[in-house]
Amino acid sequence: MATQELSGMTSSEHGGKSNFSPDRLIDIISTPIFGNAPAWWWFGFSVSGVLLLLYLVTLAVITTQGVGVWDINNPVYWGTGIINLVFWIGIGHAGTAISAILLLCRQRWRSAFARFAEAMTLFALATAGLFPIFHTGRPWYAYWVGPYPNALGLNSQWTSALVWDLVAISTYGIVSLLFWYIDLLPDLAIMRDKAKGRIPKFIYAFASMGWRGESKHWQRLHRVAYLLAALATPLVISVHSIIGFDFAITQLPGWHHTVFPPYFVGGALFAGFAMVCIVATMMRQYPGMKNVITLDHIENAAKFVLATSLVVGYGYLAEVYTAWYAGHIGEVLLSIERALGPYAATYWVMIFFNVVLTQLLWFKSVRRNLGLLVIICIGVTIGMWLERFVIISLSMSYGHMVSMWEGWVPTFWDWMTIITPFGLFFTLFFLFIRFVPSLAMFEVVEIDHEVGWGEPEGHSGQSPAPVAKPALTARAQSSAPVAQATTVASDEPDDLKLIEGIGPKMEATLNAAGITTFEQIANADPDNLREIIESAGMRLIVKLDTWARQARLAADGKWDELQRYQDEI
Amino acid sequence: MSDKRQYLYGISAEFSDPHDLLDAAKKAKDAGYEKIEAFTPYEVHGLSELLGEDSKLLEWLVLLGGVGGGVGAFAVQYWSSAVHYTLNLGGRPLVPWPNFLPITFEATILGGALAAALYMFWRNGFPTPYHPIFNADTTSPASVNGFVMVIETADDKFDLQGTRDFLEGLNPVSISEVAG
Repeated sequence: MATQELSGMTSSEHGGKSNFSPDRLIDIISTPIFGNAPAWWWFGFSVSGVLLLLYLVTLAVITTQGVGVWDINNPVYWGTGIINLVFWIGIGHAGTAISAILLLCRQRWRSAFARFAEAMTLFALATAGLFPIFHTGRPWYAYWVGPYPNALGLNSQWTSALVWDLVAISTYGIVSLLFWYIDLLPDLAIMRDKAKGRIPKFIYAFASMGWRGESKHWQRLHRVAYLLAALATPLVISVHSIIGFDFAITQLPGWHHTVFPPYFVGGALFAGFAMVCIVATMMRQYPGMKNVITLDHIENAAKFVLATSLVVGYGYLAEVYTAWYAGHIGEVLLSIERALGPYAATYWVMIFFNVVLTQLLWFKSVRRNLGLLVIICIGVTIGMWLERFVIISLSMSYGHMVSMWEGWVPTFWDWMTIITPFGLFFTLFFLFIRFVPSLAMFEVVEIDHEVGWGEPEGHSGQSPAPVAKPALTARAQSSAPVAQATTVASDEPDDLKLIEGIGPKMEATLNAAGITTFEQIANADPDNLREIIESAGMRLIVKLDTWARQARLAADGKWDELQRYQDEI
Repeated sequence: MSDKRQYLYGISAEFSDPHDLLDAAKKAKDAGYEKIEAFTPYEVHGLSELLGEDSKLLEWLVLLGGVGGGVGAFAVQYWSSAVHYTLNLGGRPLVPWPNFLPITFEATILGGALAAALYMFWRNGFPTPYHPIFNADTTSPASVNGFVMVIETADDKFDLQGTRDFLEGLNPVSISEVAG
């Protein structure tokens, strides 16, 4: 697909705007599914696949040789398995936070993010869930944690954080899955109706469960989605709080802190949003996606990273302060050992990545520089892994008694357990962007209609474009017949819709105010325009500040230059 | 009424945009048709007032699911610690209720969420592998960009020619007979 063709489609913080008919919009979003996968997809999928195979080997070794291959000891019982659990659960936090909280706040720009961020949550949870199971050493007995009827008449130990984890993680997984799937049904129905082959059609028909867009279907979908969002919001916060309880309810120095639950939630959102930035940048490599996942969206996520980085920084301060203020010798000793002991490097690298480097995000130019942003976010990912190492294993190596002091160093299989699970996560993710609509198509189309831009040109045919513009003909052809004339007289009304940001409704408003030509827009005072538009009851004004220059180029007939300018903005 | 009635689900009319569909639905209602269904690519505001609002059952079911989940989870924990298998650990209380709260909370959310999702599947009749509307001959599928209204043969006022003429008067993009 020609990128030029796509340049007409933009989505901004305020909603969406497109010059395409809904059919065309859907085509663009479903390109990753029906088109051929680009080389980078195959590359990424292959690398993830290899890592996944290595992960299976690692799991086989852990199962057959026992968790001793991690070299965990007394007192450091919790090594990579638990560090990874907390790490991956954290990554899973951003997805539901984005979709649920932003839905409740009626932030419609979420539709560019929500679907794949939720998928990210599900895959991160799937990855995380395996660690405690394999950490038990006998994964086939993992069900012993849960309540089930047995010959011994035993029940679960309800006061154990292990049972809480099981309940919290599985609840989070189930609710996230429901939330994701229910919202996916209309899009699966689109895929069903768009799919060409018999087998894809069957699969999408099966998955869409017979969605057909009856008016009651839509009512139910929206009501259920809002209720699920309202239920998922406290759930997101509770899950990592409960993981925080795993530590906070013990007596161990470094764990026995009341700040842990909120500090863990902040850290989880921090790691999650960093991963969202990385993944969104990756998604943008798909042709056309740049116009749907915009820099504005990524910048918003980057702001979240910055804000949560400050929360995490507060957590680090609170730990040291609590140790000093309480005057507890174990806590004081641990704080000193963290900063100056044999593991000091991990502590300072963590501080650097999580608190220092992220301060660059105060600058707008850094937030919008994707290369730099991804580097910062990869730093955050490493930093957050180290944070869990510092909290979990390091605290365990400094117990109350000297006899409980013992270090722990990752072995080869630890490194395998750290690196290879990324294979599982990214394999699932690459399959997802290949087979499932990674953006909420029906929402994009709905926003498109509501805003009044890109009305189905072909159906009415009542807005003939008086100007033929080479670069824009492609989009005109994509829908049904649009009359095109090749000349334009200077005093005749221009087709203002050629300016990015003006749609049929906006054009009618402007015409009513006596503005009909490019010349007039080019010379108009932007404040004046804004007043006209707002007094007509329209709220969404996109790129008003660029209209004058666009109109100037259009009035002078510099179509190529206009096209280039529109690509830029 | 002809024999066709047994083989027809209804007559569909496709409109170019939601406003036309809404107008058409209004006119059909005014003309006395009752069994009307609309199929749209997204929620069209105003249609629900015409074609019937969904019942308020959902909220009650979610409340019931949430309360049921929470009370149930607490009851299981209470019963197993205080009744079924009592374990005296150094004189600590048999029912340390604050420790039961995390699971109670999670079960509340789970119960409510399952109630909401199952309600939707139940009321939509999902999974529905087959529905007559899939036979409708429209220029664009309702899922993509078709705003389709169907007057069902089950309607008392349905008349093959009369209904067709009526729909044609509404200025649709296309009209088709939908096999049942």
